[in-house]
Amino acid sequence: MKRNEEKSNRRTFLKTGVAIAGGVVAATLVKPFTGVVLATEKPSGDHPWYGIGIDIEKCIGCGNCASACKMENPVPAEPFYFRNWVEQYTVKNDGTVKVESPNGGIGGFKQTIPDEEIFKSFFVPKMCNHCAKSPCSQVCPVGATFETPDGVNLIDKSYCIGCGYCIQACPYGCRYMHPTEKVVDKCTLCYHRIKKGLLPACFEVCPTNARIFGDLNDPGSDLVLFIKDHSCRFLKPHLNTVPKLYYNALEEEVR
Amino acid sequence: MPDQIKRLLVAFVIFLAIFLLARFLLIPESFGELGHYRAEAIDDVSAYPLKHAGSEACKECHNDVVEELSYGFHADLACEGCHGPALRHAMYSEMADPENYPDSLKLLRPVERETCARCHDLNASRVKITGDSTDISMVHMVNVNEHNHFVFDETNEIIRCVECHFSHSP
Repeated sequence: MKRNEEKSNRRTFLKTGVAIAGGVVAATLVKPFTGVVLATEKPSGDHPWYGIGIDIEKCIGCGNCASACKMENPVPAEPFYFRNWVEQYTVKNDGTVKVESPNGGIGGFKQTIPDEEIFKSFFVPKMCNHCAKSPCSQVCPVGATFETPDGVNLIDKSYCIGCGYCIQACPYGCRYMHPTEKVVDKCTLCYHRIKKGLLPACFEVCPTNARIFGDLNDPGSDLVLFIKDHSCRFLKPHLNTVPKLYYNALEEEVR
Repeated sequence: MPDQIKRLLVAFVIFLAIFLLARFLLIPESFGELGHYRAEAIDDVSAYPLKHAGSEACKECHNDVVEELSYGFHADLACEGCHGPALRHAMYSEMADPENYPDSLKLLRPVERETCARCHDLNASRVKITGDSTDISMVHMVNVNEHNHFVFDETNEIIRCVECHFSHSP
């Protein structure tokens, strides 16, 4: 009697298992898994898909981008509020890495390490990566931060409740709490400029054209040609945030 | 139907009505049109005021400077990189008389050593010539702390770069 019961149990278990497995396969066929999206993949609709290119080899660390951003946008003047900033990386001969960013690079840099100790050194401009799968907009509890159809990550300041979840969610540290408005603030890719056909302020003032702005949907845009020409990398690709900021000559030490 | 169920149903209908009314009043009109956000927010952000005019706007009036620039290495630089955001300056100057031009709309004319040093000071991070991928070799490097570091006796000021170098056409 006991044996029979066990047998029938096994049969039911196998039947259910096969049914679930078959159901999963069928569901995948009906609606394929689209979790992994590539930023260069053309999104549905006939509109631009804005991206950014930064050529680290060309950056001379003048800090024009950081200061132009503060002048174009209502960013507080204190040296710890930035929508974009420049970092100076210095790798010493013993392998230790020193990262400096005095006032975000506004006013230029000084090399504090003597030349004979330096193995290599370079500047890395940082800003919002305008991710296609941005963690910041995923965690917003009220829908105050979002990705526009043309791929720019914005904040609805009248809707933000200032909880600060997005500041913690952003792996690139590109958001801050505005001290007087009490809402979160971040790079808008100068949305008010690009919608009028102008370049974002930081791209406008870069003296060496280290920054390239363009439309990833347009095969003839400067940005698409830049990506074709160089071996570009993202920051923190393992997080699958699908950034749209392409760095040329991004070194392993950069975090 | 038992009485208590009827009473519960009435309460349920009232709560549902309050919920729907609150939902209707609280959710903005354009919420959800494009996604889980207020679609009008895009227009709000697009309406932010501009500050930078772009070098093309400068060229409309300052032909003489454009010519100066064309001779030298600074020809491709954006005017506003050194002189600051110029949109209000450009809009106002079209109708302005120079004598009554307000000081607040005058642009920066940086002449300090520090301004030149931002790009031209000797720095190991800056010196890197890698094949043909970059024109960084064109950015001239000097040790700003040593190069012709004369101090004027009368004013106790360091000689400025612009005393010898013409910044528009170095």
